[in-house]
Amino acid sequence: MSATETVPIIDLGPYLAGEPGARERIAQELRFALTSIGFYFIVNHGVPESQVRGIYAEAARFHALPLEDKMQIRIDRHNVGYLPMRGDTLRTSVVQTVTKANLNEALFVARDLPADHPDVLAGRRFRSSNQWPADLPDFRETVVAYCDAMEQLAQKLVPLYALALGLPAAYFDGPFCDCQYKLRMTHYPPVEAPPDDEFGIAPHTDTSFLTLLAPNEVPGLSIRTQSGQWISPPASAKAYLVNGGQLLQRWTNDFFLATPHRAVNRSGGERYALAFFCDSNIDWPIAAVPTTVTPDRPPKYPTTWYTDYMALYQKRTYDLLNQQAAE
Amino acid sequence: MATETIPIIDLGPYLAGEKGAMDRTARELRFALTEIGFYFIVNHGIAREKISAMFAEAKRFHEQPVEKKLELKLDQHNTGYLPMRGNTLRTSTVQAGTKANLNEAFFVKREMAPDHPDVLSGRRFRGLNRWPDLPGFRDTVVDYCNEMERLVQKMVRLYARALDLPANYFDTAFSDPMFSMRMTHYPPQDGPVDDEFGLAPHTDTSFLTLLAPNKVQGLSIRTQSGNWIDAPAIDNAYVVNGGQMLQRYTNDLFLATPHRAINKSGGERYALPFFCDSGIDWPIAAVPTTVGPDKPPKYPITWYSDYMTWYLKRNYDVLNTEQQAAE
Repeated sequence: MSATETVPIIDLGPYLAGEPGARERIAQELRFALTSIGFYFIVNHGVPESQVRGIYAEAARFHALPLEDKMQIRIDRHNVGYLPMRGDTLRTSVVQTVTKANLNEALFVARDLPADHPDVLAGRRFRSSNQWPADLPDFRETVVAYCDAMEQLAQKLVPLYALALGLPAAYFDGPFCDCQYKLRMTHYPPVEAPPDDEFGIAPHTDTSFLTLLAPNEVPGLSIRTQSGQWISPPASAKAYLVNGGQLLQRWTNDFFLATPHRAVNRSGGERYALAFFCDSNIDWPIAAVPTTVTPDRPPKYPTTWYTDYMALYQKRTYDLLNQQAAE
Repeated sequence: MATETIPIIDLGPYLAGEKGAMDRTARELRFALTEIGFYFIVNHGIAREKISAMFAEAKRFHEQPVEKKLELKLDQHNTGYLPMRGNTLRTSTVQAGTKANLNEAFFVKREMAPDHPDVLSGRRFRGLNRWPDLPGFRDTVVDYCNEMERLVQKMVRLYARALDLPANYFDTAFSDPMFSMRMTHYPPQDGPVDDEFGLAPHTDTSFLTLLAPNKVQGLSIRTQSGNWIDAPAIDNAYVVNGGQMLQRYTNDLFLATPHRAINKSGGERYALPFFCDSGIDWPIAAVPTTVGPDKPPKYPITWYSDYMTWYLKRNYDVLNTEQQAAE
């Protein structure tokens, strides 16, 4: 496994256009990225710039609401709704001991399930209706359309993951049908000189199979390469930044990386970030794919399921939820 | 908790979509496949006329002069005519088979389009079927194979549930399944001469085998206790069993039970097993609910082509002669 100090740029154009051989070639680039640094940019991803601008505008509009309004839709046990500033502490971080809460606020949106969906009616965890702010016309429509676009993009990416793992292209089609996802619409206020261990978001790895981070002209993100260096990927107005998390590690028996990253907003102005965390279907087992295990290299992790894993993770991370649980 | 009786599973409620029937039937399936490795299915939805038409075609085929049949001699795709004593089950894990099997058979696989890329590239096990000059034969056989394939695609959902996986777990793997329809003729036999069988004790290679309801008995299976029992005659019931691929898929949780055939009926006997496996490009490896850090996979990952190439080379004298001739 070779390491790199540069986040590779993967051009999806030829693959999305169906050019012969493009899929296999790009899968090799993906494999390099996910084994060498764990982050990659995608360009020619097919998401219109206007749609990206639109969702940023909604994020700004939402966070400009008075705090009392936002607190009306405070984050719930499904992890949808509003997470106030310093509402979470990344105790689960595998990167460093984190004790200070994160200096950001966020709105979490999941798949917009209808109120009469069986999972909603049953109160199934992580399968709820979303919590929408009152009095923000078109907010919901814009956000749902953006989530649909992200889901479609993720579904186009997973065949590349399959090929990158030596599997048939359709391997992940089943698990990523009705996939689990969360859109995190984050607001980082400006910070002049943060104390040592206070971050916009503290060093952590994601939980996701893949995270699609919208093109961002305001810098703030850094990632830790395999050599241990922290580097700041260049800010880009066009490229999505993609990375994998703990569930990708489990799917690949640690063959693909979940690279630590953090955010500090030193831009002097407000910073918004739009991370779309995507995972397999809630009922799909999460376990090492066959090309990453052998009799001599057994699975490192026991089989898990989205709900079990996330319930544990959230319990440790979200102070607010725990307070509510204690009440 | 082994059993000496082959369970009968009623597919009717499941196929009719009755609430709760899928999981109930899946539990019966799990019992059958962990305790004896064989089960009958009734109310399977295959019309009696289609089954009897297939038996009639098998008879019609084998009644042709041997020269005629030899024009379609088995090829490297394992389709075509296998003459009497054309194979010896050297791979048998059950006993050392040295005598050739006393049966003749005609093998049919999926009917491929002549311009299918796999056909054009000469990909092994994806060749064109070879058909006898018997009007109506091809249509009847292809139609029957289609029926079998559709039944398998419904049954794999029960296999998924029986393994605590989401119902659609095997859907993509079985969207274009590999199959082999064996139309066998067993001449009458008084009893085994030392180790001569109609079909010597063996396990199948398949994920599952659907053996058509047969008015003429001849099949025996070896239970977990080591007893050989004769499969009873049950009107209009298919006999289903798993093979080596099912063992690999389930890390030996499900059985591949040895069986054999001897035709003591005094007349001709025909048998119609339909062997079904996942798609040719699908990895064959233990599903996540059957492995863990403390329970590594027993078998390395394999692929249909690799496994079958190995298997056929060892068992099919007729193929080996041809290969030598070609060399």
